[in-house]
Amino acid sequence: MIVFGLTLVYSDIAMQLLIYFVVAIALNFVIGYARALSIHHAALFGMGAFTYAVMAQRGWSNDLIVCGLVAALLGGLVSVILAFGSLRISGDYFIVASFAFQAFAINALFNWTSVSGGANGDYGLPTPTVLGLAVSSTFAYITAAAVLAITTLVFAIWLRRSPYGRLLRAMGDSPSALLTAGFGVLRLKVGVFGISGMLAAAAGVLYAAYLGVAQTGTFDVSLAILLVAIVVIGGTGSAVGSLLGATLIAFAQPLLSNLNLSATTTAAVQQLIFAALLVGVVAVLPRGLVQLGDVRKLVPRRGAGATEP
Amino acid sequence: MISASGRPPILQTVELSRSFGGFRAVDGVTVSVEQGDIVALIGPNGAGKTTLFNLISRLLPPTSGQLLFDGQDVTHTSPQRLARMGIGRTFQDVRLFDSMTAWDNVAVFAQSDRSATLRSGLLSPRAVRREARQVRERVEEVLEYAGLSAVASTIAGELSFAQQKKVAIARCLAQRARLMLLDEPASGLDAGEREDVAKMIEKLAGDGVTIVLVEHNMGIVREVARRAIFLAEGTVVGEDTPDRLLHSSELAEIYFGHIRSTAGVA
Repeated sequence: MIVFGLTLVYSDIAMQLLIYFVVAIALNFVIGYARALSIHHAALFGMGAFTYAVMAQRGWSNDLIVCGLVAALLGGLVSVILAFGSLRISGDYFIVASFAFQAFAINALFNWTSVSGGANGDYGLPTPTVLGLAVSSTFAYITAAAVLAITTLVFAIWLRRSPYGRLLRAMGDSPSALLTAGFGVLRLKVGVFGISGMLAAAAGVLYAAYLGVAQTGTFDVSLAILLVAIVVIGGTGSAVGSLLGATLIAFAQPLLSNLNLSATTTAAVQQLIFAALLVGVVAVLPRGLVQLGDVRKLVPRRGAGATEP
Repeated sequence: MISASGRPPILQTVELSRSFGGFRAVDGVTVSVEQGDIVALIGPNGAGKTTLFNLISRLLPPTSGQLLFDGQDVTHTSPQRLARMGIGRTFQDVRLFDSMTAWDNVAVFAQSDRSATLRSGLLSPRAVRREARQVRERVEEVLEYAGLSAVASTIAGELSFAQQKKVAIARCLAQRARLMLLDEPASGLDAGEREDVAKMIEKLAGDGVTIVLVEHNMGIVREVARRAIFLAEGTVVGEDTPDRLLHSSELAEIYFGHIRSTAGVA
């Protein structure tokens, strides 16, 4: 029974890790390239989840690919609209606007009961299929999540190394210098926000399909902040960092749940611990956990620098 | 308007002005720069030199007046379009892409407009590969020219200040700028490095690039500039060879008097 319990937990952890990883990469595009700290990715993620809930419940489609594409379209569209907002307001003001959008979107969804099911949420969602094959075993879900995660990772790495990615990195470093190179910032920002929204929403589809439930409460501000924590703890602008961050959070959450505390206390303790983790990591490793990989490289380089005339 | 030498002006400003609130940072500036010339913009701090650069590169829109490049009215042209037309600039605070290598910094300026769409990257791999090769050749050529080949793979933020300034000029070269606006290319450099930059500027002019520079180091202005424009309180107060301009007692009073008074404050 304990063994059974553990396998169950591990599959949850694996799913959470893979899906958080995809959303973290999506968020990292916006934070790392557009240098806009988004607090609204939980809402984009949630939009994907409810896209699946609505499409599957009404019998429109329970195919992960079809629902994923529809969600990506929706998420991408909303994110592009937010990109235009980010051009007019930047820095702290964008964070506030993004936070407001997150709160507004989840509240609106909560009150739109025919879509979200209100406080109860949408539950008992049909099991999904992929190209006609039923996705019912834990292994099948994890495979689907792994395919999404690996595709996302490969895409992120390809993007970073491509000439397009070079422009995105340049935009993060100095938008005005990029203008003098002959590139308008609007197009690039819209592109980054669009890709980011598409990925976050697509991940939401898989999340709802796996849980069989979609509740607005899952996608509230605390998830939004958790996602930011994953990116910052892992390291902004780094796909490997997002993986490290997602892994840490995915394992920390169930460990904390095993402390035999009441549900409300657990939530509070969790937030405290994540906050402490965030502050701790940022204080020790300002560039996130990815910096750990640099430590070895840093030491000899300093030595070499000292011998320079 | 054809100047005395008969060469057509590459850049003209007509009564160009820019106000910030009630403060007129640039106030009715009319200047003309010939193709292949090296012109220095001099004047005390706050004279409007950098603002004028911002107006010419269109990072700031003018409040009034006209800007002509190659005889074409570009007063309302976007900065990215002007960059593609051949106006390159550097910044006083350099503004390299600090987290990227020197190579990548230059490559950004060698990339075509088309590379800014994800679609072209995904759908036409052959065109992408062709452009990648062209960019690679251009970057290597430019780094060689600027004497930066050895530091090509160094992160720009870790380069020496002098090398960073050279990368900034190399970037303008990569975009095939015909007019380069260099904002204090020699400030913060030691004598040897200044000499390096001066040589680079002269080499560029020899290759047909028109150069306008803002510079406080009068040594380098005398050495490279054929003409100097003296700016004070947003207006042109003198225009001549650097030597004659600097020997004018009236202008020396504005310039050095100003410096002396600020030094006194400090």
